[in-house]
Amino acid sequence: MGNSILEQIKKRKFIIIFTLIYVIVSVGIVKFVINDAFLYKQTVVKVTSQKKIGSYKQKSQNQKSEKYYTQRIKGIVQNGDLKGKKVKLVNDYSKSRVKTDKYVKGDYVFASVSKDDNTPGTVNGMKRDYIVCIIVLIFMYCMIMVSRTKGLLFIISSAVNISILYGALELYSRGTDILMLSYLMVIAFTCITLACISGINRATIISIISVLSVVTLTGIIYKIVLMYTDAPDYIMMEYVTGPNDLEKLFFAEILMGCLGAVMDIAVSVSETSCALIKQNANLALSDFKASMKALGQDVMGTMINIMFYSYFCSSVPMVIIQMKNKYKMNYIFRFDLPFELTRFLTGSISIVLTIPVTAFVAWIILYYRNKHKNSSTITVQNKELQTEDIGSEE
Amino acid sequence: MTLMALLGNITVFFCSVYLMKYNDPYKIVFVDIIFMCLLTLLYQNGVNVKTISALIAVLAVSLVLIKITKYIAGAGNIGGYNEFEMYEDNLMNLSVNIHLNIHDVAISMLVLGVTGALIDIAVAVTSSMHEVWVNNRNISEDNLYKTGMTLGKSILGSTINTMWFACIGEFLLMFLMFRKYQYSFPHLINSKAFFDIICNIFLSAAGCCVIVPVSAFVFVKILKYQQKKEA
Repeated sequence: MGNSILEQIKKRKFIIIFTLIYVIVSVGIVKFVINDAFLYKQTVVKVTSQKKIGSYKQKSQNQKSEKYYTQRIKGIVQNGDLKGKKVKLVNDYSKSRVKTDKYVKGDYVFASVSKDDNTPGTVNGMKRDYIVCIIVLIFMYCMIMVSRTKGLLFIISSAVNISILYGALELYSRGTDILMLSYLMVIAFTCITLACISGINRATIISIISVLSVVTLTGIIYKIVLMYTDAPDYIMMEYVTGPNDLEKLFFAEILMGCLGAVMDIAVSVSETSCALIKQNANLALSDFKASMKALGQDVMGTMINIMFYSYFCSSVPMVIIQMKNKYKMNYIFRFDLPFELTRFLTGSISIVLTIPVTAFVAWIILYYRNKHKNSSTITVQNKELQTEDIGSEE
Repeated sequence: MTLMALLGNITVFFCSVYLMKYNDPYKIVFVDIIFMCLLTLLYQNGVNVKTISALIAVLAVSLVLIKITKYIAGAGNIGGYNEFEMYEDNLMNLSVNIHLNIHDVAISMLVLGVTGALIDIAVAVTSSMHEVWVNNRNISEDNLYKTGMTLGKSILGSTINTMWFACIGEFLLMFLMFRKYQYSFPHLINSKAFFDIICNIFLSAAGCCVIVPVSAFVFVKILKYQQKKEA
């Protein structure tokens, strides 16, 4: 028994060593981020204890009252002139905590503190950077553990993508047109992600071409539909209070939203078609079409399912708040959900489009290449024959 | 068949959102996850070893994910109005006294959002392992497990990619808002808006990673149990 455990350990040497190093490094990083209060200008307070000191009822517009609690927080200042000082803070929170937060022992908060001891300070927000750090580290560990090199490549490509996004926004705030920028971003994202995920080969080139054409097609379809219908009320869009090119921004969001799903399907279709044609160079077009159709039916439903959930779930809390305010369901559908609905539907359209477009591109490229290859092999054979002839002459 | 299951899922989803006003969100979401599994796994793919092991794996992972999300995301006060929604005009006349903890709603929705992807990956892993097992009944447990992991790897990248790009549009708008109000980078990484998106992407992606070994493991165990029973 002991032997087998030793063997197991030997077998999983890499995993164990990697985990140990990873845990040590990430504990170090998280420790640093927890204690990085000296980097902030605002006062950071570590909560050492909190106590509910009172409650009151508050009525609101819908005539519903709810309990609000007041908590007294004791904490220690972590940075600035008052570092190390014990302070008292007051904070109100409601039972449903939509606009207010409850803080517990161990949290780090940003606070405005007064210098004299008698007046308690107030909480301005929470320090969340270390939690973000922990989440990203957990994700990276899972990813590398399960898919090793591929996982690492994915992490690198998404980091590059995010920095491209940030750079593009820098350009946007200097006045570059968002539509052009977003199309450039789409091209950059596609090339980088696909090159990272599946390497640089023929299948990747096929997928890049088809992804770009599908995204363009989806954009055109969206524009055509928009011409014949009323545009949704962009004012109700999340995260927006002013800029005048909302329509373009939403368009950019749509293009990027469908990109991920389109890429996956394009990759699987192009890889399958490459394998098919490699196996049988004289494949008939009808057979090729049939197998592509079968593949498409396989991947389509699940992708649309994933898209549905990732779009709608994030807007559910808002819908629930509105339903609690006795808003009618059709009102919510008309004003709050159209953006999610539009994104979901355009995404689904682009998923459906991807399969025929990629199959078409793959067929054309592989077919012509095969033809070319056949003719070139014939010429090579001729050359060999010629050299043999020369050799025999000598 | 696929479309029917998709429609069923959507119906169940809207029903559960409607019911959520009256009840504990976690319970509702768990029932919803079970319904989804029944529809997509047992109805669409039939009752067999593959789907039953996928079902067990999905339920186990989503339960663990609820616990972990509650712990980590709860510590950062996920959910509720973020920095921008707090001052939006059209939300001003909405009452926030809803008698329902909005954090619970946000956390349960995060888990529900990833369940579709979990089911997808679990089925792909178990059915590829089943295929290998049918072709070679004498395959050792270790090798069977490895086949599952290999397939899991290839499907994982694409699934996470889909979720990542579905969220990147939101990232775009959020970054714009931060630029517009001239918030600094420290402000950005400590904000609720950023935290919500990060939780959504990375915790669901971590869940997708975990389902691969779990479903492979469950499938191997169930197969072993079945063989013992037959012998």
